[in-house]
Formats: sequence, C-alpha cells, structure tokens
Amino acid sequence: MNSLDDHTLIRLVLEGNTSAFDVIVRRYNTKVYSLAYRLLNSVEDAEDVAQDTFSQAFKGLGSFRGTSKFYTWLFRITYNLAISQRRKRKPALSLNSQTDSQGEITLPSDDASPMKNMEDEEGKTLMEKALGLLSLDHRAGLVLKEIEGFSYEEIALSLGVPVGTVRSRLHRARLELRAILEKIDKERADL
Amino acid sequence: MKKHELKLLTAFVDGELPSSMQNEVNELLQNSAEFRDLLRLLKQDALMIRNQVPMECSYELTQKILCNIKVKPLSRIAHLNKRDDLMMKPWFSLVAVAAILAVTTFISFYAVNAFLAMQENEQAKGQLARSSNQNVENDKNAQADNAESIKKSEQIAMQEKQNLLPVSPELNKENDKSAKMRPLLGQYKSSDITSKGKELLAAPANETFNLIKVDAPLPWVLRKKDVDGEVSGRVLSKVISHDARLKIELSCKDKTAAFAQLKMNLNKMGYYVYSDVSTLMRLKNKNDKSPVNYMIYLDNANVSDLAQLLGQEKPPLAKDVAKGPSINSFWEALVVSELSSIDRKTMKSVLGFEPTEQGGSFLNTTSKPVNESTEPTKGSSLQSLKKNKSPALAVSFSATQNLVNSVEVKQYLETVKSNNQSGIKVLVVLRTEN
Repeated sequence: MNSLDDHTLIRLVLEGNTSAFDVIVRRYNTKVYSLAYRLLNSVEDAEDVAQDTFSQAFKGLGSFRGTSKFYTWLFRITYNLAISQRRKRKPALSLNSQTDSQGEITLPSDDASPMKNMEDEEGKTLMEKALGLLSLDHRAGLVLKEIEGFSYEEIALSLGVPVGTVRSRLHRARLELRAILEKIDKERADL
Repeated sequence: MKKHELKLLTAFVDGELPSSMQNEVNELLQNSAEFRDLLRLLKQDALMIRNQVPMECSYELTQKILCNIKVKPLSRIAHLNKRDDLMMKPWFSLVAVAAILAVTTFISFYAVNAFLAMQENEQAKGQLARSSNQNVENDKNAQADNAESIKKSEQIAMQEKQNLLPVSPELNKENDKSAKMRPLLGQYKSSDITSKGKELLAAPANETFNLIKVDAPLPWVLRKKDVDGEVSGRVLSKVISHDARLKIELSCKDKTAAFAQLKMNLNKMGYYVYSDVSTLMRLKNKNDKSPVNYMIYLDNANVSDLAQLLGQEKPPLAKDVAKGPSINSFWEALVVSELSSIDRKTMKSVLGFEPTEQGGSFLNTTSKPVNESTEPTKGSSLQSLKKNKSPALAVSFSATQNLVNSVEVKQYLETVKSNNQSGIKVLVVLRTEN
C-alpha cells in the first residue's frame, strides 16, 4: 500500500479502508510538521497544527476534488491552521526570544561575521530567527520555495493566492530577509 | 539598483525567470557588480534556508495523529456498516412492507372519511337551504298571525276602555310592562325572527318559555296569580271564548311532577295519554334539573275544562289568595295564544299531521268522551282503559327525532278513529332547555 499514489489512497479511504489514511499520514507527517514549525517557531504549536491538519484532512477528504496535488491541499490546511494558531498566541515566541526590552534584535555572542557563522549550527539558528522576523505570508512563501522546492504555482495553490501574489511576496521576502541579515551583521560589527 | 532589476534578480534566484528575460539578466550579470553581489547574497540566503535543521515528526506525534483520526472514522464507518447490515436483514424488508401498508391504509381510511364528511356537509347545506326557504315562508305566516293578534288585542283593549270588560289594576300593571316589552320585541331584527323560526323548526326542544319571546299580547299572558285571582277567570274566559283553537304554554319548574299532574288531570277528564319513549326517558332522568315548558293544543275549550286541566277547578280560598300563588300548582306561568299557521306546520312536520286538519271540537260537553265517573277501576285491562278514554298524545320535540309514523302517533290516531271522534283532542308537547 505504501507504493500507491495519493489519489489511490484517498479513494481507498473514501471506500472505508482507513488504513490507507495511515499511509498518507506517514508520508506527509514530517512535511506538515516541519512547515508548521517553520511558520510558528514553536514545537508545541506545530504538533497541535499537525494533528489538526490530518484530522481536518480526513474529515474533508470527500471534498478533495483531485484537480491539484494532494500535498498542496494538505499544506493549505496547515497554513490556514497555522494562521489561526498564530492569532491565538501572539506575540510570537521566537520574536520575543531574540529581542530585548527596547525591541532590538539580540545576536549571538560571536566575534565572527554573521555570514561566516551561517556555516555552523549557530548560523543556522540565526537564520531560523531571521526567518521568524518575517511576516507569516513571506515566511510561508520562502519555506515552501526553498525547503519544499515548490514552484510559484504550487505555492499559490498551497497558500490560496494567485501566482502573481506569490511572485511579489517572494520578491519582498528575499529582500526583507537580506535586510534583516545585513542589519544583524552591522550590529554585530558595531559590537 | 532599479526595482525592475531587483524583480529580475529574485525571479532568477527562484528559478522562475521567464526565458524572454534571461538575456536581460545575463547582461546585468556581466555589466553590474552590484547585481552580481546581491545575487550571491540571495543565493547564500536561500542555501541557508534549505540547510535549516530538518524537523522530523516524532513517533509519538505520528501515533497521536493516527489515534486522533481512527477514533472518529471508526464510529462513522461503523454507523454506515450497521445501516447496511440492517438493510440486508430478511425481516427488514417485511417490516418495511408492513409499515408501508399501514401508512397506506391509514391514509386511505382518512381520505374516505374526509370524502364522506364532505358529502354529508353538502347534504346538510342542501337541507339548510331548504329549511331556510321554509323559514322564510313561515316568517311571512307568522307576520300575518302577529298582525291578526295585535289587531285582536287592540279590539279587546278598546272594549276594556269602553268598560265592556273589567280589568284588574294588576293586569293594568302587566299591560304597562307589556308596553315596555313591545319595544324590546321590536328590537328583534328580521334575521333574529328568522333564526328563531329555525330554532322552532330544527330544535324546538331547546326553546325555553320566555315572556319576552312569546309572541302574544299581554291579556293572553297570565301568571298564576292572575288565574288564582278573581279577575283572571273573566279574562281567561274572554280569551278562550274569543278563539276556538288555542295553544297553551305552561312553564313548570319540576318537569316530572308537572307531567304527572298533567297526566292525572287528563285522566280525570277521561283521556289516556300516549307518550313516546324519548319523553318518558326524559322525564325519568332525575339528574336533569332544567326547566321545562309544556305546550298544549286545545280546540273549542271552555274555561272550566281549562281550569280542570290546570288543576284550578276549585276556586282558591280568600286566605290562600292572600298568601299568594299556591305552592301545590305544578305550573308557574301560562301563555294562551292562538294556534298559528307556524304551529300547524310545525306539528305537521314533526308528527305528520296538524291538530286541526280533521276538524271537530275539544273539551266541549257534546264531544267530551268520558266523564269522571267512567274512570277505570282496579283490574280493568289496559285495552279497556284505552277504549274507555279519549286519546291524548304527549311527545317531546327533538331536533333529530321525527315522530312521523311512530308507534305512539299511530296508536293515537287509531284510537281517535276507533272512538269515532273527530279532531285532535289533546297534544302535550314537552319543550326543555338542556
């Protein structure tokens, strides 16, 4: 059953074979959880969103028309649930964790430049926190583009927006991320 | 760097650059160091995003997700399977067929009932229309009778004014009351009269004795105190001698005692009373405390006979008159009126004959069938008792009961014929308010 494609598995589930949905869960659980975590920067929230995503997907499986790829439909559920989760818990934990009382970004205590640190674990953490400073829409676009390797069209289907919107969002997201990283670099240089 | 160039740059990094713009990007890469530097930084950022620590979904979370899902679908699918299993049972089809048959029968039953009820309603409407036409005709007759009655009463009043007939002060007071009542009578609209006529024809048993509603001039309306008094005899004599055929209405409180007294008085006068079953049943009903009226139809009666019928043959003593109305009297008030055409038609419709259609006289000395000396003794057979007496008929008007060709009426008419007596002698009609 693991070799069956998504549409076949869905048909089996709709026919009453619930074990087919287990295959779907195991196939996409990491991607869904990862997307949720990138969007929310919280393990706890990401787990909640991942559970709710599959639960809602199962309930609404009959409404999936099969005109698009299943995972874009699944990611769209994840994205919408993440937005709801974000509204419940604000401000975001990740942003607060890296800003001081004046709202300035706190940087890792390292004399080396930020770009240089990107290669190590600390650099990865820095990028993670920089992503957290982006808006949810921009962050979702970048994650889907770079981590999931989605095309504009797939991102548009996943986020429920036109392709033109995806293009402009990614354009602004990359420039904004660059600005944040340069600001971090400058602040570290001043220190 | 221009905005357009930045868009080209990000699209290039995304790998979504249109082929038509590839040359423009290549030109910028060759000619612009700033463009090249930014491209390098953006590609570096993208690489760092892709190198983010992968977030693995733990085994526990996967199990949570699976458990969360399986709890719900199992119940839903189990419900569907249960329904399928139920429909596959052999007895399910039998139950379904039985239920369909029951519903079909139920609907058919009510449909038939509704159809029959509709037909009955149409028939009732037809009867009502015919009755309405008859009532209109009756009203015309009643108006003619009223005109005659008023004319006669005016003649009597004129005679009284000319001191031809003495009238007591009490009667004058009643006359004044009557004068006050007449406007009330006049307030009845023609529709009220019509409806009253309907009631008389349709449900005369429910008609109650009411002085205001009685269509008779005051001298003919006598309360018991008038009859007991000295003047009453003269007034009653005058009224009775004035009209040959009369209708007497008696208002009684105790219907059973009144009927027994009336029957006894008739027996004393030599009459045997034929009663229909419904009348006897009504009289036996002790729980029925409703007041009752008796209508008695007379033909050529004299005052003494009427007094005998009413139990007033002996003039009251002076001390009894002073005490007021006798408590032993079975009646409370008396209304004497001419037998109208409405009465005749009513009797015709209910009994199948009218009181005067065979002519003859009533309670006169010549036609008086028996005297009190011929009253049956103990041991006489019922047949001989009937033969020795003139027939009287006691019936109760009912909206639903038609007495035409009933046993009692037949017996009454046969007895009249066998006794070779012409005319209707006595008809006692009960009218009650239930």
